[in-house]
Amino acid sequence: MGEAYDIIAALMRYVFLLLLLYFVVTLIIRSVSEYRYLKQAQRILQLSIRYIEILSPERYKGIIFRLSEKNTLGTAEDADIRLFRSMLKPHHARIDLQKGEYRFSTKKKRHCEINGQPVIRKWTALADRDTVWVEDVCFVCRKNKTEVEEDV
Amino acid sequence: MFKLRHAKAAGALGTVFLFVFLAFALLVFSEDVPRPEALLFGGILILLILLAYCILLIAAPHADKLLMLAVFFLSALGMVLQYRLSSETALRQLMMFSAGLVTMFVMLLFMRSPRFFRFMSIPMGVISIGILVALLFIGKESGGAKNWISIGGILFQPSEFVKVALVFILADAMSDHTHLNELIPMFLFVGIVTVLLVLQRDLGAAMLMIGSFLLVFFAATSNIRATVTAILIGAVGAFASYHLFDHVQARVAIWQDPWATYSTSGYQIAQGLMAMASGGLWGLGLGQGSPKSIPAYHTDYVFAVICEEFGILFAIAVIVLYLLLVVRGILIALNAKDRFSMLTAFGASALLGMQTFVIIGGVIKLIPLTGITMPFVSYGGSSMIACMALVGILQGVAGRSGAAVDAELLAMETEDEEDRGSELPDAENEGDDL
Repeated sequence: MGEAYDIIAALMRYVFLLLLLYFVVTLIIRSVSEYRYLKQAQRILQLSIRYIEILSPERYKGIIFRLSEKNTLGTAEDADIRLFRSMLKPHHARIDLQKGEYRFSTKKKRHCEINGQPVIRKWTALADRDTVWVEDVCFVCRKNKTEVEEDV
Repeated sequence: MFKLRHAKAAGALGTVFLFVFLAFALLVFSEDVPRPEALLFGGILILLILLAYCILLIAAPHADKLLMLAVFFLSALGMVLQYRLSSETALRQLMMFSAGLVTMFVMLLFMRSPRFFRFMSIPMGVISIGILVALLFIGKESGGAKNWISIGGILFQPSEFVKVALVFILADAMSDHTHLNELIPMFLFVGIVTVLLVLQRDLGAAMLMIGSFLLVFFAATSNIRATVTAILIGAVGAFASYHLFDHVQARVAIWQDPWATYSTSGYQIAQGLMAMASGGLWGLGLGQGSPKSIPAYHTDYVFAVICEEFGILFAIAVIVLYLLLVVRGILIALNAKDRFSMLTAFGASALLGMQTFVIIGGVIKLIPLTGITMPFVSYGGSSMIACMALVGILQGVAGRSGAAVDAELLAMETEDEEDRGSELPDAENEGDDL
């Protein structure tokens, strides 16, 4: 009985160590994951824009769009931000929520500017009060709806 | 909807249960006569942890589950070690663990409205000093320190509760004031408490108070010059204590060379070092070491027992677990919704971190040994209840901030739904009309 216990206790040392290591690694991985998620939530609450207000063309001026997680800008029927009478293509550009911030992307970068600067990157982060020109369409990014309503 | 996601913890909880089951199953056969009651003990522990976890999920859905799991694992490890050393002390420890859990939930509920603790900080300070003064006259001596008090036949260590009070007192003082002149009453309080603890020869608690105070002071004020000045004052105080008190000199001498006084005062440190060396990387196996040759093996020196029976690698993983606990505590503080909650959470984390550092550092001879417990693992009712109270503070702050973030996200989502219902169709209609 004594010898059998010695052997089992010696083997169990490794089992206990493995259990603790698994436990610690699991906690670390989940901590990092939870931390990232919390930061994303805080970024959404604190940093991201939530509205765009159309400034041009004249016929759409003052219209406010609430951004959802993925937004297509264009003339197509299924476009989230549909500007029917404009020079836009059916699915001209995208404004998507990525890592807690809204980012703009278009394949047709030739007549596209953000704050007067040409769009170079595939995805460009948008901030409050950024002005975006796409063909003949101009819109401004807004954080708060109340501010938008007051301005309009 | 983007809802704050909390880490799923069922798998890690299962690991705790597996560890408890395997350890107690092994302990059934650790002595000449099989002890089937060890399995019953393990089963009760598992049920207790499960019950506490379920209550936590209901009482505070946004509480930090990963922090709780770390506490459960450390407490379970402590219970395994206590049972291996003595089933009677293990039973008492289990009762204290239950009392600690109750304390944790009480603190968690009270932390929902921190105004109560802000209101109570001055009375807590007065009571703390009163108890420590009373200890000088009516305190019972144990382990060289006169820091025990007996009420109704039950011995407890008031300094453990003073350290919980210290968290609230520091947070209350520094949440409204950061100018040094406004903090003079707090400096006086910390100074008086430290002197009283040194007079009681409770050097561990004194070191803990000073260390935690410095950390919270720096976190609250970001004043490097004042913090360095406070460290220098502390160093001068330590130097003066060394020359004024024989017991401080003795502690330093033992730390410097325990082998010179191996047969007398250096025996404990030397035995601890030998136990850790004999354990090696992998340990001797549960029940295979000779921990009872180390004085205070189940309290101050429980870390040496871990090293001896589970090995140094396991002990390092335990230290990582403590680090994780402290890091999660600091994250809770960083995400707190108000300054008082932030400072209480930071103070609780700092205390737990300092206590772990002071005792493990003492056992491995990194710093002079002072008699304090290893949080959640060492035998000791006062320590277990006080540490669980600190966990309750952290869980209360985590619960409030998590609930607030979720409420904001929910409000945003509700607003979004209203927006979608009103604006987009208008825009589309206008387009169609044109």
